[in-house]
Amino acid sequence: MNKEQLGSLILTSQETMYHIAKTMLYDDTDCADAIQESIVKAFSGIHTLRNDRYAKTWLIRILINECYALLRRKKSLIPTEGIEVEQSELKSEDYSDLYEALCRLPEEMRLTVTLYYMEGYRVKEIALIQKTTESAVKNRLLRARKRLRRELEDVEV
Amino acid sequence: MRLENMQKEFPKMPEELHEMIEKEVAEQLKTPYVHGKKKNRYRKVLIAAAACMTLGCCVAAASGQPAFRKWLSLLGINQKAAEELIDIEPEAIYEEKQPLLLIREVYLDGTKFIFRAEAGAGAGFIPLESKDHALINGTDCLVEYFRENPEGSGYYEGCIVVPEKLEGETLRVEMKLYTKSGIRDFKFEVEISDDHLSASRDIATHKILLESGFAEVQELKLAPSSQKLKLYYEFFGTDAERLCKLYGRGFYKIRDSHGNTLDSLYGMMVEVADRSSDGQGNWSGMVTLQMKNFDISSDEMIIIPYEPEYDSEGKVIPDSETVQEELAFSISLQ
Repeated sequence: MNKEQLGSLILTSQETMYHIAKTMLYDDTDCADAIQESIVKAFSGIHTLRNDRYAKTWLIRILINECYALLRRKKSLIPTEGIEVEQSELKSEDYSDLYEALCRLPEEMRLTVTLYYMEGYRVKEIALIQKTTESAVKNRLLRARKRLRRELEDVEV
Repeated sequence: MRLENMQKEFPKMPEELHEMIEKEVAEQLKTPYVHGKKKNRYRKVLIAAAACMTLGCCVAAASGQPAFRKWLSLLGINQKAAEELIDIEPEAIYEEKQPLLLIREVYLDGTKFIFRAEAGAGAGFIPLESKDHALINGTDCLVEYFRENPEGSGYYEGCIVVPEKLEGETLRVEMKLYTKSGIRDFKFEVEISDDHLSASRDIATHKILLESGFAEVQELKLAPSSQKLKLYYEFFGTDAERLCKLYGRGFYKIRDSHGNTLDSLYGMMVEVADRSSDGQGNWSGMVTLQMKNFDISSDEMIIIPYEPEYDSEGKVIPDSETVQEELAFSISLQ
C-alpha cells in the first residue's frame, strides 16, 4: 500500500475512526487527539503493513492502541476507579439515552458493541481487531445486550 | 429503539474533526517519510481542496496484495510463479482450543512451507520462539526461520523445509514453541492442492560429457522459492587437475534460455567439496549451489565457469573474471 492509498483509506474510514474513538474516549478533543496521532503513526508505519487486505483492521488497531494510550495518560493524571465515563460528564452533552447507556458499559464491551452494531463487523473480524476469541466477542455482545436492556427499559435489544 | 439502529443514536462527527483529518492526511501526503518522525499536533497548514479531490481518485485500499511481498521481491524472476502459490486466509484447522497462532497466509512449493500467522489468544505478550525442528506430515523437518515480524507486531513468519516427497491433500504441521509458560505445542492443518505439489520439479540424475571428463548432475531441484544444483565432476588425463580446479571452485556464470545470467558470487550459497585425485592422474570434485533467481521456466541451465582475480588479501576482485565461454555446458531442463 502506498501513501496515497493509505490517505484514501483514512478519508473513507473517518466516520468509523470517530465512532471507535468516541466509544472509547467520549470527549471530542480526546477523539481528535487519538485520531490525529493514529494518522501520523499509520503513515510512519506504513511499511509494517504486510497485507493490504487488512489495512482497515490495521488502521483501527492503531487507533484503538492510541485510545488506550490516551486513557492511560489520563488515568495516571486523575486516579479513578476504572475508566467508565462518569454520569455527570455524560450529561454535559445532549446525547441520546442509548449512547449514554453504551458509555456506561465496560470499555471492551462497548467497543465490541460499536464494532458490531455501528460498523457492521462480523464476530470473527471483531475478534481479530480486539485480539480475542470469537466466543469472547459473542459473550460480550450477549452481556452488553442484557445490561443495556436493564439500563434502558424501552430499548428493544 | 434497537441496537441495529444505533447509527441514528450515535453522536454525529463534528465538522471540525472532518477538517482536521483531511488536513492531517494532506500534510502526511506531502511530507516525505522519516523514520521515527514526531507528530505535528494541530498543524496550521491549510490544504488546497484539490488535494482531497486527488485522494478521492486513489485506488481502493484493499488491493489484495500478498503479505509476502517483501519476501517475494527477493525471488526476482520467479516472483510471479511464487505469488500463485500463496493461499490467503487458508482454512486452517487447529488442534488446540486456544491456538498460539492463527494462520493468515501460507505458501508451499516443493521445497518450502512458509506461513504468516497472528498471535492468538493463547500467545500472551512474550514473543514466541520455535524449536529448530518441526514435523510435517509426521516427518522431521528443519525450521529455517521463525520470527515476529515486525518486532512487537504480534505477526509471525515461519519457514520450514518440507520433506522430499509430499503427498496427500493436507499438510499437518507440528511445531514446538517457547512461550512464557514453557514449551507448548502448536499443531495445525492446511489444505494443499495439486498446484502446490507440482510447483517444483526434479531433474533426473544424468552425466554431461566435457573436455577430458564429465559433469554429473546429482541433484537439480527447481522451485519458485529456491533452486538447488549439485554437480559432481571427474576429469582424466594431463589437464585433469587444471580442469577440476576450474570447474570445481564454484565460480560460475549461470545463464537461462532467455539470456538472463546469474553469478554464483552474488546471492548464492556455494558449497565446494575438496577436490581429490585417485593417484593415477584422475581428479574429481563436487559443487552444490543454492540460488533464488534462476528462471524456473527456462529450457536449459548453462553453466559457464570463470576464473576470478584476487586482491592482496585473497579476496575476489569483482568483475575481474576471465569467463571461460568455451568450457560452458548446458543442463537440459525439459
